[in-house]
Amino acid sequence: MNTPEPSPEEFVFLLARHERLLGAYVMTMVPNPADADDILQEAKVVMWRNFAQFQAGTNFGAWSRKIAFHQVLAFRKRKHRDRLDFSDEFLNSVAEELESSSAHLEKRERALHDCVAKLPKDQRDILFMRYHEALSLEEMESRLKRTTAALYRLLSRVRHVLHGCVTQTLQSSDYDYSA
Amino acid sequence: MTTPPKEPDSGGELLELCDRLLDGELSADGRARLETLVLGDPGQRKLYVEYMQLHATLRQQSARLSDVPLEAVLKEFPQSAPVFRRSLPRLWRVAAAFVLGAGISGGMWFAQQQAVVATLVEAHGTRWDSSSQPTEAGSKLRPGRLRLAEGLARIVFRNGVELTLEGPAELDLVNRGLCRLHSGALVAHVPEQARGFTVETASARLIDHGTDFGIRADAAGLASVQVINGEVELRHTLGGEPMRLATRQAAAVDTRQLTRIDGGGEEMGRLRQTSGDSIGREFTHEITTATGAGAAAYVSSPGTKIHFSENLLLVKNAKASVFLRKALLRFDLNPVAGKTIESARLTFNFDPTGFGFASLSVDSTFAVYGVTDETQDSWNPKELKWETMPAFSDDAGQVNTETAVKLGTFQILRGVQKGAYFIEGSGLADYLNRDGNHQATVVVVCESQQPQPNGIVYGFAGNNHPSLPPPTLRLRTTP
Repeated sequence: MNTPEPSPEEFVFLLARHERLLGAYVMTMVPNPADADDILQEAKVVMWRNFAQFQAGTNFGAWSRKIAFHQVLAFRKRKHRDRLDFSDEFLNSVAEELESSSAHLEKRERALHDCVAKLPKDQRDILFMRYHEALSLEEMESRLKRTTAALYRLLSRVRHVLHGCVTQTLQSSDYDYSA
Repeated sequence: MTTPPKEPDSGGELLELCDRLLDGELSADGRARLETLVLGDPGQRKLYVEYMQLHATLRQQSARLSDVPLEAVLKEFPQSAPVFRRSLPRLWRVAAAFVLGAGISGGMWFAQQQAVVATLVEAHGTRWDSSSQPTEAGSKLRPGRLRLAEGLARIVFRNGVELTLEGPAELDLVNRGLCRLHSGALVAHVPEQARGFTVETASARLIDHGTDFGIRADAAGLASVQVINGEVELRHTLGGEPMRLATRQAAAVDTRQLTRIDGGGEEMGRLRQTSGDSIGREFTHEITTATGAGAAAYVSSPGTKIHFSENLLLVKNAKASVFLRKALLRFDLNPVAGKTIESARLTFNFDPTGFGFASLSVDSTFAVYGVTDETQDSWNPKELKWETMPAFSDDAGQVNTETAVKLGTFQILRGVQKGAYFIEGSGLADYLNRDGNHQATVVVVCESQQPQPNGIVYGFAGNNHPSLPPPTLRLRTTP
């Protein structure tokens, strides 16, 4: 065999750079977090097994998303169909959208951190409980002594604010994209 | 001057549907409406992807929701990935890539935000299992799990509490006033100012009133406590009267109650179940597959030409048709003939097989079945084949349930290949009591199918292992 051995270092490096957007990519198609995690994990295994076929210097992000897309399809085939599953048409359309706006999304991701930092502490705490501690609204209800309906509204509002903040940040000309 | 973004007006409905989707309340109609919006308009499509990305980013990088300056975080990110040195085994580096995601999103900055609880001041002959904590002497410890495989580790809390942990042990540091001893032993010195320091075990809570004490616990809920000097209060998680223990007094905890131990202040006893009506921990009989007419073997699915083991009984279930394996055991029950078995436990000693990749595998549940058709008990381990084995099913994770009954299951976490695992309970005892020919055939399968054909092959000691005992039945019979 003359083909060079794929280098684990290179794989780890590329994966680390691209896997966040890859995670978002899978979630737009499979919103259930546990399922999305499984798919992402399987996709990483497939990527490593096929890493020898990846052409160095080409777009690793696009290559990895193609593999993830196939894993999403494979997952859907294997799993019991659910009334909340999106249609194939929807999947294709969303995947295409994400592919064509991947550079834009990377910028949004960077801007998001600044926007989170601007939130008042209590709103950051809500995000922290929901996302880092992965508490359900019911669990947060007993901890915060607020109704799930109120927490639901608050969480939605915080996400809306963040989305608006990111959009605005990218529109203002002095934002440094390279940060 | 840019025009204000249009999203708030045009995207309100879509974002609301997204919120429902994310918090688990979307109806089928809502899902259909969401699809219509997204498919019908490029602007809505863009908004959907942006909003879902926002959610995914918050989730994946939730650890960043703390106060760390973002510039620092971003600078650190790309460089922090390939930290693996050339000297590391290759597979290790690849395996690291698969857990990297979890490592990055799982608390990198959160850890920095959490307060230091204690310092690991000394480590004697220590070997650590994977732990969420640094394990070098002098390390600052934050809330999290310590897994000490062997040796002694001395930990000093910021309020002056001093613990010496004795391996093997698992300890969760919760905060400076509380730790959870999952298994193992520790000796504590609690100074006056730290009164109220609490150690929790699976079934009890020890509250200190200024003492030196020792405690030993296991995951099954047993514990024993000994006060060296001072006083502690012991409470069972089931409630009831708290027990106060003074200097040189000792107590045992089991899943039901607290029991004072007379004269137990001199030497720390072993853990045992003291209330009689629970599962017995003292077994009166031990029968292995090497006893009497016992036997142990495994079968491989047709087409498997290589990868056999002399010492280990192999078990594998994967998305493949070859290299699947099930293990088969026979116990000679003559030593307990005519007796009623009250409680039973069947133990397996796993050891790495060297076949397959643990990193390509998932957490695995093993099921143990008892063959009920006694005409199938006389199998010969040398002639056993996949299709001719007792209670045959072509599914690697199943048996024919018309001729076998499930006795219990146990789980081995991904990446673990070694250790003793067991099943116990009335299912096993009932099955053995129903036996009519003094022979019991047991099938072990892996219920969890590995997603990759190259998933891990599990193995546990059979009758020829040089150091590990064969599968062993421990039984208690009525006197």
